[in-house]
Amino acid sequence: MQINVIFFGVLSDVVGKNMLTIQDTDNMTDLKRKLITNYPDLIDYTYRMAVNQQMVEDNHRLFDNDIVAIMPPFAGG
Amino acid sequence: MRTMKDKNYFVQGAIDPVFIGEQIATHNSNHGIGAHSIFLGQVRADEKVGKHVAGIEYSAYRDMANKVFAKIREEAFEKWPLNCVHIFHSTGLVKTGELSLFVFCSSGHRKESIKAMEQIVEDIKHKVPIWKKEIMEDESVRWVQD
Repeated sequence: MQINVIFFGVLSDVVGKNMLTIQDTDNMTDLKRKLITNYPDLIDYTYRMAVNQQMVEDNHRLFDNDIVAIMPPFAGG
Repeated sequence: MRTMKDKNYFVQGAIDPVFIGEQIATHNSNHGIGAHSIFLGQVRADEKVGKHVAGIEYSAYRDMANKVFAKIREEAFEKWPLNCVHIFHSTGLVKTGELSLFVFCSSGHRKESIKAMEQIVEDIKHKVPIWKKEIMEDESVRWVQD
C-alpha cells in the first residue's frame, strides 16, 4: 500500500520537496498524522487536500497508488 | 489522469494585450452575439514591508486546474444562455503592470454575460488550484496566502 503525496505553493518549501511516498496508510486522517510527524512545521499551515484531483475531507479512504495533493489556499487571478 | 480532451487554459508568462484584441476580432463573424464581457487581471505593485512587488510567479496543479476551469465553464453555460466563454490564466512570471488573467464571455444580451462573468471570476479565485509567489524589487520572495 503506497500513497503518492504532492505538495504545492508554500508547502513544497515547508517540506523541502514537491513529492514523496507514504506507506501503509488507508485514510486521510492517518496520512496527515504521518506527514505532521515527519514535517512538524506543517501544523502551522492551512491546507486543502485532493485525491486523484478531486477535493476531499479528512476521513476520506485511500487506496494503493492514490495521488494526494496537499494544497495551500488557492490564490489565482 | 490527463486525457486527450483536457483543454489547456494556461498561458506561459503575461497575457499580451494584442492577443486580447485578436480574440475579440475572431468573434466578428458570430452574429448572434450582442454583448461581450471581458475581465482582465493585472499584477499590482503592492507595497509589503517597505518593498514593492516587481512581479508574481504563478504556479498551479495544472492537470487538476484544467479540469476545474472546464467545469467552471460548463456550469456557466448551464446557468446562462451564453454564446462562448474563453479563459486564459498565466503560469510562470508576470511582471507588475502585466496581465495574468483574461476571461472573455459573450451572449446575445448584456445581462447574461455580465452576470456570468462575475460568477466565473469568483469561481476562478476560489476553486482553481493556483498559487502566487510575489517577487519583490530586491528579488526577495513571499508566497501570497490569501
